Amino acid sequence: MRESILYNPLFGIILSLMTYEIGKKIYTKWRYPIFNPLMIAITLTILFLLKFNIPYEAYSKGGDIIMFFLGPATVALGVSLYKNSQRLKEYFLPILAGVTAGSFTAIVSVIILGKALGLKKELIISTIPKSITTPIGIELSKSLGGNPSITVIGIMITGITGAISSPFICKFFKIENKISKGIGIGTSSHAVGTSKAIEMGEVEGAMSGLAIGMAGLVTIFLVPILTKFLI
Amino acid sequence: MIVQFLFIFGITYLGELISTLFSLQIPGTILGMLIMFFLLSTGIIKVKQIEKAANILLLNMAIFFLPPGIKLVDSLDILKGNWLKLILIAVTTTLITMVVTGKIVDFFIRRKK
Repeated sequence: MRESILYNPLFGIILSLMTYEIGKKIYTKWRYPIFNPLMIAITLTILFLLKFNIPYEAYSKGGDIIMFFLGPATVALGVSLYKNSQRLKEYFLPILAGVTAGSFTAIVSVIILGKALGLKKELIISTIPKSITTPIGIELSKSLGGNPSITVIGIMITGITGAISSPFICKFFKIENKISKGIGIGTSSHAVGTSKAIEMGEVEGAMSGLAIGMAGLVTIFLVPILTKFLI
Repeated sequence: MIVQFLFIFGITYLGELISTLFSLQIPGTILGMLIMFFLLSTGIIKVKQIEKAANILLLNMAIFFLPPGIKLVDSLDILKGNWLKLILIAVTTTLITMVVTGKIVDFFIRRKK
């Protein structure tokens, strides 16, 4: 009985949609960046699974179906890229310089800080792709011999950090141009940060979306070189 | 709408096939993104033909991250004792990266003007 209820894909799908909707409701009500809908949904779902002693395998029957859409969503980013190709063309060099410097900073700072804190090699390697979008991050982590689950944790913490801190960071460090804000958010905290950038304005959102793809690509090229020298 | 999703899924599939067949470093979904950009730029596909489905996917992207986030439960063992360190690293490096990126783009845009 319990088996047929829990091991039905609809269980995981319904649980995900419900907790995410609750997260969105809480966020719309208080509007504090700290009430990130995704963070609330993750917390509620985990609490639910633990409370009723439901194994991850049961949840993932439906969860995998939801996660499947990450692939097509990444491909859909090609559409944002195309819509902003004019702005991309005009400011290509400043944007490329920023994304490259940012991706370089993300990788190197993780390695240096990880070593300084005495983390194991597997943990450092798994955390390196934390600033880029999940599908690339997972693939990159696998190709380095890291643990994709740890990578996803790093990506999640990073995304939520970006979504919460970006308005404050842009103000405090006087990042003025809308393009710079968007590129900074997208390069440092991928799609989850981008959700905040979209709220800040249309240009910020589009540029942040653009930076997700660019930072992903730049990181793929930088990681093999940097890990060779630094790890 | 079915045709719109057909285009997006088709391009995703194509990207993944190319990535696997040639065992490329670049993930199939990113190849798909580039193929999408290429097809739109050359006018083989019009924005109108995929925009609705693309927006549905983009605007709801955050929820697709929920299942990988739940996998946290599975990984608790590996992180034993390293939770705080991992959070410290992720938060600090994200802030540094955002500031460096933003300031550099700002600098080059100002110089261009």
